[in-house]
Amino acid sequence: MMDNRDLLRIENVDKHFGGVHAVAGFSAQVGPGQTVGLIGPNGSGKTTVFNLVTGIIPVDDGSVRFLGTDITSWKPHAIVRAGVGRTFQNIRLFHGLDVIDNVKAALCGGESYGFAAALLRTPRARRVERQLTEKARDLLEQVDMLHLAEERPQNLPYGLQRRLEMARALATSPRLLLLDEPAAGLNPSEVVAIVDLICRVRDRVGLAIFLIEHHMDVVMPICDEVYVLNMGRTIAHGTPREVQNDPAVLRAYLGE
Amino acid sequence: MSYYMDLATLVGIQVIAVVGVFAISGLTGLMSLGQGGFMAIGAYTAVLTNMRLGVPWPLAILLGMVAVCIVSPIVGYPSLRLRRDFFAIATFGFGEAVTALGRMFTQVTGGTMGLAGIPRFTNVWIVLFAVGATIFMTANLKNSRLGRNSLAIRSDELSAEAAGIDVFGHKMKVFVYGASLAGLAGGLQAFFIHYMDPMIFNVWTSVEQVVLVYFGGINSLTGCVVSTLLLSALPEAFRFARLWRVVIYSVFVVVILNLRPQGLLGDYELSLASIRGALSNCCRSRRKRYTESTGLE
Repeated sequence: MMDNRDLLRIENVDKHFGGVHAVAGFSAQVGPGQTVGLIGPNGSGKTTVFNLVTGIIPVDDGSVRFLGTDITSWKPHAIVRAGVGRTFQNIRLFHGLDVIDNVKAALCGGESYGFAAALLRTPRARRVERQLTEKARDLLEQVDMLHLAEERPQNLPYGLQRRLEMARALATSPRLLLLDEPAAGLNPSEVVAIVDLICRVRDRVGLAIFLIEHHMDVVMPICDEVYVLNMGRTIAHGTPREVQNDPAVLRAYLGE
Repeated sequence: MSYYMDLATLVGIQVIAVVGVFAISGLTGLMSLGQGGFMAIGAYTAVLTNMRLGVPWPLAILLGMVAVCIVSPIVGYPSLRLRRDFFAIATFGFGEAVTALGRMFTQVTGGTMGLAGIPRFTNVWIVLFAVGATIFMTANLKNSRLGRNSLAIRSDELSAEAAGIDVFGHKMKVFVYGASLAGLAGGLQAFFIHYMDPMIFNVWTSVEQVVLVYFGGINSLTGCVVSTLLLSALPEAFRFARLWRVVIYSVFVVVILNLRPQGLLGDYELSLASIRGALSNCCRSRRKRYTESTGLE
């Protein structure tokens, strides 16, 4: 029943906020290893789609399937543990924790230990802690931030905060990563660096990526497919090149 | 001497309760105003099983903690889903409800007349042992995966969910842990002061414990222990100024919270490493002074 296109399958998802039809019958698929873009003017419902997929807001109608399993009404943390990681448009790091603990807090999978073991600091708890530190250092290395492990995230420049959020999302060992405007607020050289980073992690672990982005210089080179939303409706779908010349898309962005 | 022993016992009992509040309010950022209610449940369960059913006192205190572990999830299940400010109100209501129920069930609790003639089992050594165990476990908790999750939840709940943390489940565990420490403190106190009525564990008990945690610094377990030692002893030190005790205490708290919003000790934790660090700093500066004044290495 699961064909190659079915890593994430969103079917006719609907969401109303009061009188606003924020998302109207949105459908999309992301296959393994694929990079899919979601673009559209401000307020077109892109982030709402992400919030629906990750369970942060409940779906009114329609379904979200991940690896063939219906995850529509799952709790957000359960969806994350199933393999859907995400980052936020407005960076949301843990300010109370230093950089490495931001990553450690998100490490899922592998061995763990319970409340009683934590209270008594059993040998098992100590061993697992050491493993978590190892893994977290590995991930920080991947985003070239190992030397900043002891810093507080709020003291880092914006570009590094974006990288750290990426490392934290990767710590949840996702099969699919949802990136909400990973290049927002970055300067041109930082944009190049983040595109490079996205490509690197994608190719290393065969990650699938679903991303919201305004920067066309991010979307064009890395996306296999693009969905264009306007007023909660899909107005175009295709390769980046097809979509770029679509009259409906130009109308939505530039007006009549 | 015995006055100081008694004071030390009562302060120690308070430390246990405050460390429980540290886990809930300090680490996890949940303002629980129902800790007095859990102390009452622990205390009444311990005293009643001991006096009416003849359960030996250590087991009775343990039963008090078990009772708290049964009641606290029932309180937490609806209230931990609420926004943080509503959680504070809900737990406040719970504390008041426990007091009201205690006054209503006169046959069981003695109502407002209280229960007199409770045997004394608690002494300073037992309390010191309990304090040590409590601090040991809570320090471990803070430095574990669960302490990290607590801080993550306090920083940003939505983001914690996105990091795969079961926010509700985690809050529940910490809430039950902190409540059971309140139950332990209640049981120890009941077997110490001979007398108990439902008004002993009122909302001010809960509020004071939260104040002590904020006073010491919500990130510092050391801070909340120090602030309890300091502020519980302070009213005793000012006993000669009876009427002004509360005023002095309040001024002290207001001054600290205004001048040092991160609390008395901020992020500082007492540990072997931090002592070693302070010592080596001290030696270094002394050596530097020596080098400067003599020109010799």
